[in-house]
Amino acid sequence: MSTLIFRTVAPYLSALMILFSVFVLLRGHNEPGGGFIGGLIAASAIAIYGIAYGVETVRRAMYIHPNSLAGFGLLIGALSGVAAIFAGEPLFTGLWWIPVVGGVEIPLSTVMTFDIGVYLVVVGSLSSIALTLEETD
Amino acid sequence: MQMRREQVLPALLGFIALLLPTAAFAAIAVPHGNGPAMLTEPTRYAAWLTVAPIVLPIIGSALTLAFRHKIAWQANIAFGAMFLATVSAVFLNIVVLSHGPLLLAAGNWLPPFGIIIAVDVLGALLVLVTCLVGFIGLSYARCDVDHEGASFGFYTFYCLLIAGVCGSFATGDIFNLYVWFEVFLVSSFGMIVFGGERIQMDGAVKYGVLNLIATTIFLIAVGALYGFTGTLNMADIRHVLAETEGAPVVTVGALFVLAFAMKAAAFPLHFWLPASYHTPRIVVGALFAGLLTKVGIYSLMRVMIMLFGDKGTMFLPLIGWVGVATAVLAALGALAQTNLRRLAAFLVISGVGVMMIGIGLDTAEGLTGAIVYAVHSILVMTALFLVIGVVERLTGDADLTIGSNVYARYGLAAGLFLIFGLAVSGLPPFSGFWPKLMLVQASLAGSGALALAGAVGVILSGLLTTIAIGRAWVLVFLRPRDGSENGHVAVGAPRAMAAPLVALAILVVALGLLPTIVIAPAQSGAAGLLDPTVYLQRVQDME
Amino acid sequence: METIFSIIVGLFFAASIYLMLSPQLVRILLGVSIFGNAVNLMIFTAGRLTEAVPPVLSAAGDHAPQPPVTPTSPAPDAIADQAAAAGDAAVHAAHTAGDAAGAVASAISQSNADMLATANPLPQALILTAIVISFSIFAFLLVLTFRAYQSLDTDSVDSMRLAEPTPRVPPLGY
Repeated sequence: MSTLIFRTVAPYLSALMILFSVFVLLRGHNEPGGGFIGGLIAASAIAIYGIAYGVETVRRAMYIHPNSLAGFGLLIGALSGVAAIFAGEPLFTGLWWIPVVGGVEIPLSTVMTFDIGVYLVVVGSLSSIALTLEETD
Repeated sequence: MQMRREQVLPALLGFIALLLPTAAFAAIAVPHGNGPAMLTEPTRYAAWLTVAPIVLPIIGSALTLAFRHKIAWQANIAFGAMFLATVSAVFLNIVVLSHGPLLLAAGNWLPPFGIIIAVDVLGALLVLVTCLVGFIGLSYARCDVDHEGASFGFYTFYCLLIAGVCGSFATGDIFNLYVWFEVFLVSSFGMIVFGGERIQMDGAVKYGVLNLIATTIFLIAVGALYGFTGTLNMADIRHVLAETEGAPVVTVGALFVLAFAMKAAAFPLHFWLPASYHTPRIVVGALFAGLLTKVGIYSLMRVMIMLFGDKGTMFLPLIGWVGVATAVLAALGALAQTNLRRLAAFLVISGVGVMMIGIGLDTAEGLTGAIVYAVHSILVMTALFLVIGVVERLTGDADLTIGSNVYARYGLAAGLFLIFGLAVSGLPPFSGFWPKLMLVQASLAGSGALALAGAVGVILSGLLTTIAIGRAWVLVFLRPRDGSENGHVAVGAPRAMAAPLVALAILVVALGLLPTIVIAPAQSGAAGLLDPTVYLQRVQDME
Repeated sequence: METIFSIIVGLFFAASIYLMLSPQLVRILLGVSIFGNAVNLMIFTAGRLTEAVPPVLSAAGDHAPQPPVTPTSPAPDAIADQAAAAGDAAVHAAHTAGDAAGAVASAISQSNADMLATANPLPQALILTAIVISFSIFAFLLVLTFRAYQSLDTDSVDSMRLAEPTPRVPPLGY
């Protein structure tokens, strides 16, 4: 699989896919997209990089072990659900914070952080599975 | 015996966790059941208690996964999460017993369209026992699971399993119940293969496939139910089903009975349980034996009695007869076993039969007996598996074909086994006596063949269980070692392993001596199932 | 349409049960997979079938079928409104959504014509959840079967007797 063409293209492709996955993640608030699908795209980016350069390189490049990533994702998801307690609302009620930066309103919410959590869980668990399968080859 | 420094804190926490429920029950056992008029509105934040026993273990499992390389933290994180969950379950019980069912609409999406978490007395009681057993099992797991095991995510799955079981007891939405089923199913998959021995692969395949089929049948029932009621909220389903007649109700009811009986391992559908429960690590087996079948029983109660109401009565004789068959045949199965773990697995099934008899009687007394038996069974089956694990560690084998002379060599372990064994049989000073007595009384109060068969079934299964336990006691614990070995090595058991077992023994004896601390909430829980007016009113108020 | 779907669901169930009765583990797993898909299709059918209709009621109460519309991002002033009512936004949203869902429910119960006006979004949410769950469990079972095949040297459940061996007879007397 590691032809010259593929090895040359893979880093750019992976970087682009991860960028696109973040775009899909953030776009998911009002339009089709979201954490789950974004996570799938990012996990496939990691899998492509792993096919091109080997699993060890990917693990080094990721810094964090995929399972830990999934753990942090679950944590972020759970905490953004719990955050509603500070507003006196029930679990998983969306909280909004809309700061204005240079005249542009940026809507931030616990819904988004939950989606980021989902994103991390999907990236972590799927890339963990993909890397394990690539390792056994 | 020298207490190591790191053992002090868990021991202290364990002591507090054991004291709290006792205190809580003592405080609340008296002023309850004053009817809806006395109910006052709990505070806004009290509703969070419903989700605390679910969210805290989930956060615990997330933390153990996130810091997976910090092996030393794993057990402590899980321990802290389970401790907090147990404490919140205690407060949940206090609030629910004094204020009635507690509701929380997730994300402020109101019923009947949003998912609600609704804890009534029955749910709160079972959540508390689950957290307690999870906490005690964890202090056993600390000694049993080594560093390598911790790095494979044992504690992550452990916390997730407890969260899944608590979620099943707490939810007020039928599809959400399915999701919680899957949550603890997935974590039980992770736990059953933990260790990766050959025999575990065999057991895990059977467990996995058959349980997946059971939950899928549950999903079919939910889908069909949604098809003709158009709602998934439990309170709403009860309203709609009360006005629905005809074939769909029967079909869906039969599917629910099938799915939950399979999850609970009732007689013709029990084959997956004795094929798998003895294969994993003993902590895992203990947790499964204590909790998972009881979720099936709980769902059977919740759906067939509360949701189906009058329509459910047509299935109750079926449940009762299946219960009689399960109770007696599984006890016979236990008599035929030579492996102690498999013997205990059959006793789990026999207990399931006893609870199903209680459900099938269709009276408040029978239901109360079944609930009390469920609490007793969660505690005592976990304890029985754990003590068998200790015996295995001490002697290398726990098999009736090999005498181990445990009684002469390890008196405490032998004594604990006898306590838990006799508690399973239902002999007086222990917790099993009262629910069985209540069930026999409830059966004899009724009329008809089922009532008679129920009483005979409970007594006969108790007799057979006593014989099975006595046989195991004589052949394993009294008989001197006759030289034949299975090739397993005795690894020895650290002293700290005794603590959770003694704690469970204290609970079992305490429930035998002061049964009202469970019977009172169980009565209230049974009444809440048979006549959920307050529950329905609360959901109505929310809409 | 429902009739055709019901027949297909029945065929799926028949095929899956046939496969699950086979002693080969791989066939059983295929059966389980088809079983899950049959259930998803059944939930989909149970939630009423509609064609090319969005799961949204139009504000005017116009029940004529509409082509799916691409959702647009909310206008800036809508966001400003949300900012103004930061605390109440979620509650308000929940109420309006509840009303909309109530409208959906009443639309379903009223008549066939109304029913056709909106697609039911809930079955799709249920199926999505069920698909994700069954996908992950199926992946786990595949790996487990592979491992079991490696360590037990068989994929036939008839010869997987390791966990349930033929019992030996214990001594009959003490």
